[in-house]
Amino acid sequence: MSRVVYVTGAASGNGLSIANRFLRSGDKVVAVDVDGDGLGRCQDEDWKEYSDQIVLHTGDVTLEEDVDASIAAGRKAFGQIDILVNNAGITGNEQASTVHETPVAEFDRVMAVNVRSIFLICRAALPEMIERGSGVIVNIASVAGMVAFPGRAAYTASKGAVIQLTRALTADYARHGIRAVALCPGMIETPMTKWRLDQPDLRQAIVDRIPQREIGSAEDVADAVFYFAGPEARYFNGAALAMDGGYVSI
Amino acid sequence: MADRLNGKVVAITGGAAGIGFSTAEACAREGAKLALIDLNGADAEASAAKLKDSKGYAGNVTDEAAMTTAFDAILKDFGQIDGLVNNAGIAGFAPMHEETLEGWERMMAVNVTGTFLASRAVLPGMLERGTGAIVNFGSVAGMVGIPTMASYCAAKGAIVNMTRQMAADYSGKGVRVNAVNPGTVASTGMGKQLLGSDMDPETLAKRLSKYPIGRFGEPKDIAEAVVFLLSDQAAFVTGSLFAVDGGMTAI
Repeated sequence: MSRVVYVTGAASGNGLSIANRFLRSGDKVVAVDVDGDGLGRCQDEDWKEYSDQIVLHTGDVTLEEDVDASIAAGRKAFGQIDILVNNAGITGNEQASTVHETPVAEFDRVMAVNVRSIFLICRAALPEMIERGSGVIVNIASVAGMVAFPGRAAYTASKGAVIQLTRALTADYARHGIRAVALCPGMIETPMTKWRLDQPDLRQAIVDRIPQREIGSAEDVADAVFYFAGPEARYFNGAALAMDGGYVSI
Repeated sequence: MADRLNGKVVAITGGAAGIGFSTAEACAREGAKLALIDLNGADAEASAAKLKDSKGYAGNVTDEAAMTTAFDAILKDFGQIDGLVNNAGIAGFAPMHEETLEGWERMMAVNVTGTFLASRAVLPGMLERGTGAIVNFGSVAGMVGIPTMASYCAAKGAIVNMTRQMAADYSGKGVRVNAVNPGTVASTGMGKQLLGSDMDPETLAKRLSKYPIGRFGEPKDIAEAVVFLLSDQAAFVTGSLFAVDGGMTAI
């Protein structure tokens, strides 16, 4: 039976890969992104043959009205939303570095995109999930929620918050048949990480810190999300799972 | 501050040298009387002689009878034991597929069984009096995997969770149990083993790059953390894992 999957940040990187993974398996996707042009390009290229399985929504996940509208659009198109994949996230601009050097506005922006968005989306989607007694929430956290990324204070703080928010969701909603999982990817090759991974020296230094000696792909993330969203993962609830080639194990 | 352990009796395994003796010095400065236990009794006595009101004892922490003998003697000499520092430990290098069974068993015996036997020896007295503090030596190797240190990581992981378990059983009975998790301490015997003199500068720099604080530890860094955990300042601290690692496990 096809499920309805709500994916944020769906126009590129991990989000696009996640959307594609569900579409290929016959599920329906509510694709949300702040980049409307990006969604349009995906529609023309990646999602051409899936037009009856997908609804696009351009919106800013940090804004309550945009989030509410996107959830409403998904429900209008497909009746209900079964799975939330809260993927949209940013590391912040170059100034979002150490605590004393991070502009307040940039800190707020990172926290809003990475954390507030999940709160708003869950808040909008949960009442209906509670009513049906089922639902899955997959939050894309990061290994930066488990250990600190030097020079990335706001991002590190925001991902720690995502992990705890996931546990809070489990604490409050598990009894309603709802599961929440935080996936913590390590270094993944996406547009967000491209500027670093495109510098050979920096790439080598990063690879050297990963026991598996390779960078992950957006497909790795999509496969993990697909698994955690599915019935085989029915007893995973509240867990924060590193998917990082061993990065946090050493 | 120099009276945080006034009149308390603190037993330290592996107390004759290294981090154990540095901890003993810090405890003595705070007014404690020390019972130093070491594999070599003469070393323990010589080190204890440098401290006020302190004594040294021979004792192999892997030997049940030796531990009973040593702790009976300590109780006879001092009347009670207020604090136990399970510092005795060994390190070793081998990835799992190259580790010998003897190497594995020795690692577990000294680090894990030693912590068990010494704790078991002091607990009845602490429980009877309804007060006591035990500090176990975990390690960053109990929190993350260190390449080529399979048995050591397993042993330290066991001590970390043994600490939580002991806290579960004894915290309600007046005995606090905590672990310090040191990072690499360069100047001790074990430190020299960890950072062998033949280590090439590149490997050394790579090791050091894992420490945000920019240096390896000193014995006194660890000693001061142990003093805090033994003292009444830590009255509400139990079952905790105190990373004393220059930030190594934070990144």
